[in-house]
Amino acid sequence: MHRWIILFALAPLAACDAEPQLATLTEASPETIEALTGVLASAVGRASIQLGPGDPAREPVVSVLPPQPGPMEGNSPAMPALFDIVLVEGDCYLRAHSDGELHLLAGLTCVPAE
Amino acid sequence: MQRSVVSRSAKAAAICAVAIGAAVWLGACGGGGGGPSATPPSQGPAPPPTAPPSSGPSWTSGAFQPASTFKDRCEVVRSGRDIEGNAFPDRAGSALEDRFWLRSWTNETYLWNTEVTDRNPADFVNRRDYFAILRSFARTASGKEKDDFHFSEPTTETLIRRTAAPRASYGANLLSLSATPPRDFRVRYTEPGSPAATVANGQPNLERGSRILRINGVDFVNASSRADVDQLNAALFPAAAGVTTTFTVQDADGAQRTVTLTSVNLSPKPVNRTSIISTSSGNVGYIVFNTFSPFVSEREIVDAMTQMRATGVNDLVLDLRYNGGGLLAVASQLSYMVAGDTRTRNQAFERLQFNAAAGNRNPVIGGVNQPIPFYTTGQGFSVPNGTSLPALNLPRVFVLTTASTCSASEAVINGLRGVGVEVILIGNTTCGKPFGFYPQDNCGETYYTIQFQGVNTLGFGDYADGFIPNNSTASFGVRLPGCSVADDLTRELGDPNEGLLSAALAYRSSFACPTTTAAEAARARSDDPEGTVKGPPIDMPQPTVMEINRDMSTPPQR
Repeated sequence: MHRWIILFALAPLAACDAEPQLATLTEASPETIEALTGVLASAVGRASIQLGPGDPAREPVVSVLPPQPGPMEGNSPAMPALFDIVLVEGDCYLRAHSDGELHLLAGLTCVPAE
Repeated sequence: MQRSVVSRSAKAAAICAVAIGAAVWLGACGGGGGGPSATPPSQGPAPPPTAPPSSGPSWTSGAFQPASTFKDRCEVVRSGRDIEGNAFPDRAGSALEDRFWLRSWTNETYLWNTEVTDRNPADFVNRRDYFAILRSFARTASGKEKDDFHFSEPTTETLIRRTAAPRASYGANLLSLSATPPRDFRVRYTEPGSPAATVANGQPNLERGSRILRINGVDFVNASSRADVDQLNAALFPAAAGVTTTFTVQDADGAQRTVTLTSVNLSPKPVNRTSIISTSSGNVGYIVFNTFSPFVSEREIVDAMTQMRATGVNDLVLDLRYNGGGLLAVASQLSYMVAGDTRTRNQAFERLQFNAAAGNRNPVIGGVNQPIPFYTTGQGFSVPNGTSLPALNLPRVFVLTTASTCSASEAVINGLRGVGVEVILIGNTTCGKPFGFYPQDNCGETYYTIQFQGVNTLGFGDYADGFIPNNSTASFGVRLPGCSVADDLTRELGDPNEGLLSAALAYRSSFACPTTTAAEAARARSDDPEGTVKGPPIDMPQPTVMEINRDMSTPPQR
C-alpha cells in the first residue's frame, strides 16, 4: 500500500518541483500519533512498530525502532529508521533518511520547524 | 521449547557455561525443556544421511543460483499473519527448495563461505541437518571452534521472545556454580528498586554473594527428588508477578537469614549503578553497564556519562563484567563518550567485514558496506536523534571483565584501542566474539549464521580467543595492560574494596597488580562442577533480551 502512497506523494512533487521544508506536526494527539504510526509502519514494511523518543509536534525527526535484538545478538547492527517531517506545497510528508522517499501524511497538518 | 542446535561443541560450551558461571535471573522460567533436534558433526562434514530421490532444483558442485530463487518456497506454507501482524511471505515450494535456499544464502552471506564444503541438498532430509554442515569447522589458535555460533530455532520462538513482556522476577541475578546437588547458587547483583534490593532491617533482602540454602523450606542445596526440584524451580522462576517465596540465604560473611520476596514484572536496568570514587589524584567514575541490548540502554549510558562529566572525573572504570553485548550503535556511543571528539573524528568505530565475494557491499541487507562511525549524538533508540552526547576525552579507560564480557562489550575495547585509547583490562579473559549476524527466517525457521567480523579503524578484529590481562597465565588471547583478577562475590559492585574495582584503583595509582590475583584467576577458571552431578538439575530459564550472555553462543540446552 505504501507504494501507492509514495506515488500519490510524488505526483505533485513532479509537477511543482518544490523544495521540502523541515516541519513539525501541529499537534500530537493520540489520534495524530496513530495516523503517523500507520504511515511509518507502511513505510518500513512492518505491521506493528514502536516510535523512538521525541515529540513530532516539537521535533522534525521521528524514529522507528528496529525489531528488538534477540538474546543471542551480541553484535547487533540494528538502527532506528529515521524520517524527517517535511512540508511540500502545504502538504505534510515523511521523508526517509535512507532513500529520500516521501510518504504523504494524509489528513495531518504541519508547520515549518523553528 | 524446541531448538535446533547444530554444533556439538557449542552445546557443550553452553552447558559448561551454565554449570560454571552463567547467570540466571531469579525470575520466571518461561519454558520447559527441550533439546537439540539435530546432532550434527563437530569434526567436519559427516557422511550425509540417505534421502529418497526428489525432483526439483538440481545440484552442480560449486554452481549457485541466487538465494532469492528459493526464498520463501516452502513445503509447508504458513498462512495468515505472525504474532507481530506481518503476513507470512511463504509460497508453495518444497523442502528441497528450502535446503537449496540455505545453500545459496550461505554461499552469499556466510563469512567463511569458502570453507564450507558444498554438499548436495538432495542428500539430506532435514533442513537442520543440512544447515548444520553449512559452516566452517576450522579452529582458533587455542583450539576452540572458530564458528561456535551456528544455530537455528523456530521463528515462532524468535518472535515470542522478541515481543515478550517484562518477566516476573524478584530482581536478583544469580550465578550458578552448581545446578545439581550440592547446588550452589549465589547472587551476582540485584536490580535497583527490586524486591531483592529492598532494604529491610538495615540490609538489602539479597546481597551480592548471598548463597541460597532453602526455598520455602525445601533444601535447595541437596534436594534430589523430582518433586522437590519442581517446587524449587517454580519458586525460583515464578510464572507471574505476585508469587511470594521465602528464601534462606547465607551471606558472604557467613551469616544466615530468611527473607520473603514477592515477584514483580521487571525489566532489568542496563546501567545497574554508578558512583564517583574520590581519590588523592582526582575523581574516578564507576559505571556498571550490564547490557547494550534494550533500547533504553542508550538513554541510561548517556545519563551515566553525563553524571561522570558533571563530576569532572579524570579516570573511568567501566564495569562490563556481566555485559554480553547488544547494540553496536550504543557501543559506539559509549566509546565516543569515553574518547571524545579529537580522537574519534573521522575514525571508524567498527567496520563490518563480510566475505570476500561481497566486496564493498553488505551482502545481507544490500547497499554499500558503510563503517560504523563513532556516534557523537543520540541515534533515536531512547535519546532523540541528533542530541549531542557528553564526552570525557579520556586517554585511557579501565574495563572490568569476565568470560561473560562479550560481543559489543568487546567491540568497545577494540574500538577504543583503534583510536589510541589505552584500555586497561582488570578481571578475566573476555569471551572472544568479534562476529555477528542478521537472523533470517525462511519457511518458519530462523537461522543464525556468522556473516561479519567487526574490526576497528586499524583493521584489527582477531580476538576470537578474547582479550586477556597482561599478567594472565592463559596461553591465548590478545594481551592488554592490566591485571588478572577473579570475580569477587564477597563485596558489592561499586565497593572500592571489591576485588576487580580494587585492583583497578591500585593499578591506577601504582601500575601494579595484586600479587595473588593470577592464582585466583587460574583457580576461578578451573572451577568445573560438572563432575558433581548427583540429582536433578535446577532448570535454567531462557535468557531474555536483557539478560545474561547475549554472546551469540549456541543457547543452553534445557
